[in-house]
Amino acid sequence: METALELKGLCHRYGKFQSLDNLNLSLEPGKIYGLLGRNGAGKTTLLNVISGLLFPSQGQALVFGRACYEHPPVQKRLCVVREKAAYPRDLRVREALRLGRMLYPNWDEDYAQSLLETFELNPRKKARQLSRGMVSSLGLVIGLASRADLTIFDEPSLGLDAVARERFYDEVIHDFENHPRTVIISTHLIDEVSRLFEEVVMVDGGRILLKARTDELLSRAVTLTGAKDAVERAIAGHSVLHRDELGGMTIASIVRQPGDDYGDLQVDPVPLQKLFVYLTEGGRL
Amino acid sequence: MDDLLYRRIAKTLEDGILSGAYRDGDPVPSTNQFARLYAINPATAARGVNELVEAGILYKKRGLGMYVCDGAREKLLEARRKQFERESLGAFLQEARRLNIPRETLVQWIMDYHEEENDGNGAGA
Repeated sequence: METALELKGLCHRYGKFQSLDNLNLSLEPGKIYGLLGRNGAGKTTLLNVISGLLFPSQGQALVFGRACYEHPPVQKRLCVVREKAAYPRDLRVREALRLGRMLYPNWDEDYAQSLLETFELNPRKKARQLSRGMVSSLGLVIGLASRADLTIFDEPSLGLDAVARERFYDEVIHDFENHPRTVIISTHLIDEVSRLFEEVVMVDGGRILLKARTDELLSRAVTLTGAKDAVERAIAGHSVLHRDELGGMTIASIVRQPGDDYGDLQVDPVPLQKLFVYLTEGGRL
Repeated sequence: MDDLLYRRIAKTLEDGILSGAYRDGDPVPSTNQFARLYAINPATAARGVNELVEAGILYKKRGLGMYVCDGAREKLLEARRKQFERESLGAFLQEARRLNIPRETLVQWIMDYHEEENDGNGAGA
């Protein structure tokens, strides 16, 4: 089957700094992926290599089987909404949409217009008159209306208020239903968006930490709360991701094992955000 | 681990069947309707629905959607009763033990609780 994105031994260096270190990854079409990583993990560098702004020092990044830096036509199937979108200062919102219409063959103008209303953007405003949140919203409008086969949102929620963020999540799900495509949302605000992701890819220090189905990943770990001795007994022989103590109580997040029985301990799921933190701090699944 | 999203979808449907909102042979909302309502990934919603298909609670009519199996409510009631005995009752008794409440007192409380409830109903009528 055709892959939406394939990384083969992908490396990138800034001088001596190894920003991407031998990434191998294959993403299927028609899914919504979360790309999770801390600041400086290499997310934006990766997106820049994928979209052809940077050259890999080794390996390949293929969009629908083609490298953007070698085969520019494939860029029409790819829309990257950047965290630091640099629109010309005097470009009006409606002119930005006109550019979108020219760039993306699947562009839906009616949808773009309705999205302007959804995100309360005035088409006559110039880029320099837009707040941080409005610039983000403009990116979302373009990304959604592009209907590009592979659409990547880099930190889409920067500066957006809670209402606009919820509207964005609703639009992604709603539009995805009628126009399936591959969507990658790169973010460090994890819990809020995790419900959108069919699968997540975690990156850290320029490497891929893991790729997994979101629900499968969440079912692998559990947080136990109870008396110190009882918790210690229950977690013996388990990989412990995190441990807190509160008086005589112990709160431990562990990787579950088949046949586990936690008795009368309080059992809670580990939210994706926490799981991500534990894994970037050296926890092992 | 009922907190997992797909379990929540399955539970929403189960509760709907138990409450009589969906009866035998009724159609239930589609995966996409759930995805849109809760703004969750359609694959996650589908997993919750499929769990009920595997359990013989829902069945798929090709091209039409998901429907409630005959006898689904009875099946769910039976499963929930077992779950109640295993989980709720277990937790209840464990807590009672932790608080040193004798069995006889618990039984008395259960009886009184029912009476109070009946009194309440009687007074309201």
